[in-house]
Amino acid sequence: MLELNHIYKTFNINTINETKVFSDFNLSVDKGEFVSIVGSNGSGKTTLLNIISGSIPVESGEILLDGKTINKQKEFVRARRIGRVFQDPAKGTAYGMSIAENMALADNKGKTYGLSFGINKKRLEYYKDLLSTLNLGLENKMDTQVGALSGGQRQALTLLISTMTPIDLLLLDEHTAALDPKTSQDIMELTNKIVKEKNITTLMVTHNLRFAVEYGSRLLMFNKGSIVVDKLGQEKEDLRVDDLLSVFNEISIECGN
Amino acid sequence: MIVLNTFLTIMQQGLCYALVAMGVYISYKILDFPDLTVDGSFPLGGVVTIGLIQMGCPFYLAILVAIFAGMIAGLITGLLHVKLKISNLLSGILTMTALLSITLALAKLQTLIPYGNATHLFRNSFMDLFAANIQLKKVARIGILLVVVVLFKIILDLFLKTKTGFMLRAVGNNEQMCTSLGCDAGNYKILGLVIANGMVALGGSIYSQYMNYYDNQSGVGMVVLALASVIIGCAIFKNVKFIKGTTAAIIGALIYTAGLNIAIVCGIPTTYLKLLMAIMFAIILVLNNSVFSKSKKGKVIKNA
Repeated sequence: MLELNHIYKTFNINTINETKVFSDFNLSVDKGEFVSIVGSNGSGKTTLLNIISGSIPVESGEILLDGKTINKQKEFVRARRIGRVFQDPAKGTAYGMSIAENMALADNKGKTYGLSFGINKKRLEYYKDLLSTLNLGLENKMDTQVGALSGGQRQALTLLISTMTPIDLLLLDEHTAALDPKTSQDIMELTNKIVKEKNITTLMVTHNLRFAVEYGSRLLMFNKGSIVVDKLGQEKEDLRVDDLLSVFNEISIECGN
Repeated sequence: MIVLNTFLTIMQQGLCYALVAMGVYISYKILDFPDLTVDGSFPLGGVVTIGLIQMGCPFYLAILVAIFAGMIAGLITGLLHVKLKISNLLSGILTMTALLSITLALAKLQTLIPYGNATHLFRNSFMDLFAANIQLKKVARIGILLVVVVLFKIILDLFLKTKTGFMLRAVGNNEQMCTSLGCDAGNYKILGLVIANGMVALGGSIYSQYMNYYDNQSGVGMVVLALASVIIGCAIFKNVKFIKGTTAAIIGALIYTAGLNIAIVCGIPTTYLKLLMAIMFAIILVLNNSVFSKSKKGKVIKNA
């Protein structure tokens, strides 16, 4: 499904701040896998998502989606098959537009944005039904500007609209990190539900070890641009937060922290 | 009498500026792009119109070509910004500066060109019906201007309700959203600037016909005027949901023009007109930040 072969990525090449993030990094993700990725700051988790989505280029190496290389595709072209939810709830929606308008925009993803009316009134019922699955009461606020919603509501809406049209891959970039504990739990539940229902291949970067352990079918731990823990299947099932914490501590001791 | 005269002047000038304000509403409010091309595309619209009319072209065609010329100016600013990655303010300044030469060349180095007896929007067989009474003539002009302004307002409003219009609004809110939906945000920015400057050039074209001469200096301060109009309009109607942004821009333009004209009637010499414009704009910006607070656009004002 998703393959990264021999990826090299260095930031600020030939400057005093040169930082090598990936050097000969390889990863292969199967169709339908829900991969949670943990690791300390600077270990390359978000860089990985940026490389896959195309918001930053790689130095060398190959990115394959469904067996085809997507290296040369621009970010917006890749986005037609890849959904993404950011840590910042503001990034997934247009704040000055209503919920219905945001959903109508997302509903049209993959087609041309021409001169027909933005909102198709026949679809409004469908949007309402979709919103009601969130249990946030948003179905009664279709005309409310998204900017007036709370971070949690916006993130829920972002999840909904980024999976409205069929996508091959979903990238979640610490998408619960900016939310309070209760809301982040709700959003995580919602994520799990959507990913399972639609069987979307998903990469989720998180700092919440409990989420990483409890949800998903595979767990990766990154350290300095390489994968130090890779658990799937039964091994993943048996994994506990304490196990992960001890690995984290070992890494920290090695680094001399 | 002076009240009536001032009112009629305000309406005529204000409606010309309203066209410009609607254009700037697209670039500044919707796209979040402080576009300085305006100072150049406004006289461009005027010079193209008068040039074509003097060559014998019908005025409606001349107006359409003027809009097209403004669109090209917007296209250049857009390309400079999006493709060559020049900052938004500098892209506008570059095009505006280039247009200073272009308009001067098109005007054949004349700073003032009168329309003479040529037929145009405000001198034709329809207007001749009102030739007898000077006041009635002004009212008829206002009528024509209203038709033009309302026509373009409706077109813009309809456009903003289309899928393309939705995407334009999304790009101004959040570029990432556009990218996530598989579209090139840069192209939408260029489109927005093209439309915006088309409107500005239309304003310049109509304004020169209203004045009955083309003035090479007419664009100076147009950015300030248009931005002030948009900011006043949007601040006043911020909490009124059924008023559209385009309507707010039109009313803002009328209010701002009224302010200028009233000051002149009160005895301020026209020499200080641009100074007055700047001072009024500064006051509006300050008011917008404090009195009408909670404005999300606070950060943008700094750029402007």
